[in-house]
Amino acid sequence: MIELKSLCKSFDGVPAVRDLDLVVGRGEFLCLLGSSGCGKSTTLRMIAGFVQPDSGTVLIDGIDVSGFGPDARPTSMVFQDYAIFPHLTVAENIEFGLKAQKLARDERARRTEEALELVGLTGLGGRRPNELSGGQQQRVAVARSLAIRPSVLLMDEPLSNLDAKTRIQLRTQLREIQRDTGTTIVYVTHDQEEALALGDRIAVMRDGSLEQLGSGHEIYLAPSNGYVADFVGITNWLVGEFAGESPESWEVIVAGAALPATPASASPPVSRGSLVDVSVRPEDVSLTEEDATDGRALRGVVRDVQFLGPVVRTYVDVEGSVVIVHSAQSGWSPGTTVRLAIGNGTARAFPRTEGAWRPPGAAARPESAVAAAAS
Amino acid sequence: MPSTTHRTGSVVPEPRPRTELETDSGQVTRPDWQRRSRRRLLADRITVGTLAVYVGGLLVLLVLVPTVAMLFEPDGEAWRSLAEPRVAQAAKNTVVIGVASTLSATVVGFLFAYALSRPDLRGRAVLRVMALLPLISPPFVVGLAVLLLFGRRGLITHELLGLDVSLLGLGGLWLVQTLAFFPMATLTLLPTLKNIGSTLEWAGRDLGWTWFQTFRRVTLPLAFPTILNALLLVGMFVITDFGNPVLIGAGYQVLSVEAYVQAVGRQDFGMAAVLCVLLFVPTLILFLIQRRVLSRRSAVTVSGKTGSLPPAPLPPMVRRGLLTVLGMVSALMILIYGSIVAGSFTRAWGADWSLTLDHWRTALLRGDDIRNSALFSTTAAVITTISTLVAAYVVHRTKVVGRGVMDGLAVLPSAIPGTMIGISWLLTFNEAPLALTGTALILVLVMVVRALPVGYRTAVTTINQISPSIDEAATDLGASRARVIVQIMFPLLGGAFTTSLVFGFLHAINTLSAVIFLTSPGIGLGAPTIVNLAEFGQWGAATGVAAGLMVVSFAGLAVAKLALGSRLRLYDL
Repeated sequence: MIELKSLCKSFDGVPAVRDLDLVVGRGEFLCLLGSSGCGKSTTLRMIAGFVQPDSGTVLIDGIDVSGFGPDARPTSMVFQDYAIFPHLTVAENIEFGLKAQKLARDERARRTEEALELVGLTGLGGRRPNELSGGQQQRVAVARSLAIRPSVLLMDEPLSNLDAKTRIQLRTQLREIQRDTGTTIVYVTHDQEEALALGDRIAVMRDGSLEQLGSGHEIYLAPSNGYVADFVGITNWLVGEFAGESPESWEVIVAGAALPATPASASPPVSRGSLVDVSVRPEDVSLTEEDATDGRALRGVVRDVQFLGPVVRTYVDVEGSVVIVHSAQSGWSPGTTVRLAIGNGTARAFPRTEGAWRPPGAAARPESAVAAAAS
Repeated sequence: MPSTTHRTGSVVPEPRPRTELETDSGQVTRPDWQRRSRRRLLADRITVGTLAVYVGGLLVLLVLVPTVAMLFEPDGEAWRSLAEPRVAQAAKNTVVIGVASTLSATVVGFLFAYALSRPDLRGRAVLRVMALLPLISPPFVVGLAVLLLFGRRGLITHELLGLDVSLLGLGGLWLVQTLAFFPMATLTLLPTLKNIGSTLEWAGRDLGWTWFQTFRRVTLPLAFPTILNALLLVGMFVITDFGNPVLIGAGYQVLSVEAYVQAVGRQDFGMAAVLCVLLFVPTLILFLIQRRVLSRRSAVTVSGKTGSLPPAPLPPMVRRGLLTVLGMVSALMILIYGSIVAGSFTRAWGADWSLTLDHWRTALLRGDDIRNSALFSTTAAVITTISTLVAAYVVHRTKVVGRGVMDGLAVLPSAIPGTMIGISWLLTFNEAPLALTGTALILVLVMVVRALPVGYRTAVTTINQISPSIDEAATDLGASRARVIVQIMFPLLGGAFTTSLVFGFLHAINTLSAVIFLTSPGIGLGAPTIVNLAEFGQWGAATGVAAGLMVVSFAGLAVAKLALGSRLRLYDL
């Protein structure tokens, strides 16, 4: 298991990781998720020992590993570009780390065989790396890392160089391997779908800090702030006005309609009439025929309908902002005025606080239009 | 989507025995990876330290010390000689011929590169050979040939045309340097012209532009940074050139030759040093500008997309014009290299045209020189290759202090005129504790310095092609520095090793200006011998040695080619 305690790292005065605390349990599959430059790779490299933190400590299995290089740490890294030694055979690649552990020849052979079997490459030990596909090469890299039986397996976007199909295949295989071996894995990715698919828990990072730590469920369904809601999955942003609260829910007026929305945990108290951002997932919106008699309903005009195979994506214009709706079918034709129904408790409200992340384009929206719509 | 069944229980840290790091009590066990690491840390420091000391020591001793010593050699009186009209004249001559030859060599080089970049143009194989010849043979061979063809008793000027004039002096030098140095420009420009690709050209033509408009508005602007780079590179070669001006400059004295005259003829080292420094200043400026130009990436190399379309055809007029000009240059080149071969079989050029093997016999008897050239160059190439690979590793793959300085010192010799290196070495290594004058070692080492910048650049390119994650992976798997270097880096650098070896060999064997000061009666080399023989009018012997030297160069190249086949990527033409 790993403990990171107030880890800080700057490169040329630019902070990459700020005061990061994180605990990864034994046998856990943790994904570090974030866009490029959020500090996730730096965090991983500090665990591996390639980068020494400016301050803070890294504990692996309870031992402070500060000052030790990657060769001395019980971690093993799988790289984005595989980093398979091109002049060695598959078996020699796997044995490389075993030799450093000074294992006997037959023990090395046994472990190599075992590792190849684990990743489903039995019989390919004699191949050269250039005779293997990208997916196979990356599996060799995983086998090479697992063979030395590391306390922690570190993976730095290991699937991003592969094509989409192989990526999904390897994802599943990786989870199986992890279940079989019980290895602790820290996995860096910028792909939120990959993180959701793989991680027991996901740590969403931004600007070197942790935004939210939780299971995929928690991250997706109960994002703790607007950034997480926006980064993980697709979401629609609506601007509303705070109108009142019940114990579990807020009432927000969006485009003249009253909308119940769950506030993010630890939201500061909000005064009546102040603006909040509301996030609604496309699959939580359903479209029904316009009901002219209901003055409090949320209405919009269908702009475009796209058939994507598993879902139909409908673009609806609500008071100048576009709302994306996912549904199994859609018979709407562009230009139709429709009524939007939002699933109970699915909308999330994020109060606007000083310096907090704001949805893109939200600032550009004229506040007066929102106010006018509300009145 | 994953379920929420993450193992909450395992998140709680388990109690562990405190480690020795914290308590120092002997009985606690710590994992063996940690016990090993202390020793490992020290061993790795020693490995890297040894390599860094080797590289740093080599560069300081061979590059920094002689250069700095040179700056302190002239006394006040010597510095005052800067005002002498003789010096001013030499400086002016250097500038005039420098600008003229640089421009013409770059233009010819551009034409060659343009033609070579068009797969639809026939006769490219011939052009390729023409551009390769001056790169493989010593540059002053062109001067020697012009002496034979257009000199006072030259084959063309005297025998065929019956004239009593010669092409020696400014005009001849201009021609010779253009022919000797245009391949540098071709080599620099070709990758860029290839990369611009046919797609952009078609796009221009598709928009209704003529060939010329496309050339002027697309090709030239995109190639401009590289053209600038070629100009600077050729400029450095031209103004530091020594062999050609000494052979055919006649009364047209340039700084490099004047420094040679002062040092060897008058034994006035102060004055020679002043002249060298005077030449060093502009080359250093060109060198620094070139580094700036290179550090800015051009748009062409970033895209790197080669068009899959066939090239847009050249208008017939342009094609014919291009082929005519290049054909004429090629004919001249054939004439030049042909005359060297012919000269080596002619009894007395200009007087007795009968055939003879005497010069080859002399060359082989004087074989000491050629053999020394081959032997010393090979040794120098091996030392250069190993040292530059180690230097590239130290600079680019370790965090040793002073990496920037090492990087600068490794490429600096390309900015130092050969004449200056020769004279500075003569001064620095003449007395204890560094008395090397008159030994074979000093010749080998000066060749190393001459070949250093090219070797270093090759090594850096190669090492940068090896993803850093390769050695990180090896380290991460528990390998020591020494093991990473021996088992991972060495094998992966193997291909580059041979290429670099051949490069180093060619640079070493063709170098003249630096070694001419350092050869001694006992230990001669091919290149200076050719110049000495030519200066005494012994054309036959001179061409014999020149041909012999070229045979050795080509043989070396052939051996490498046989051993490596298509993996040998020497000059990408």
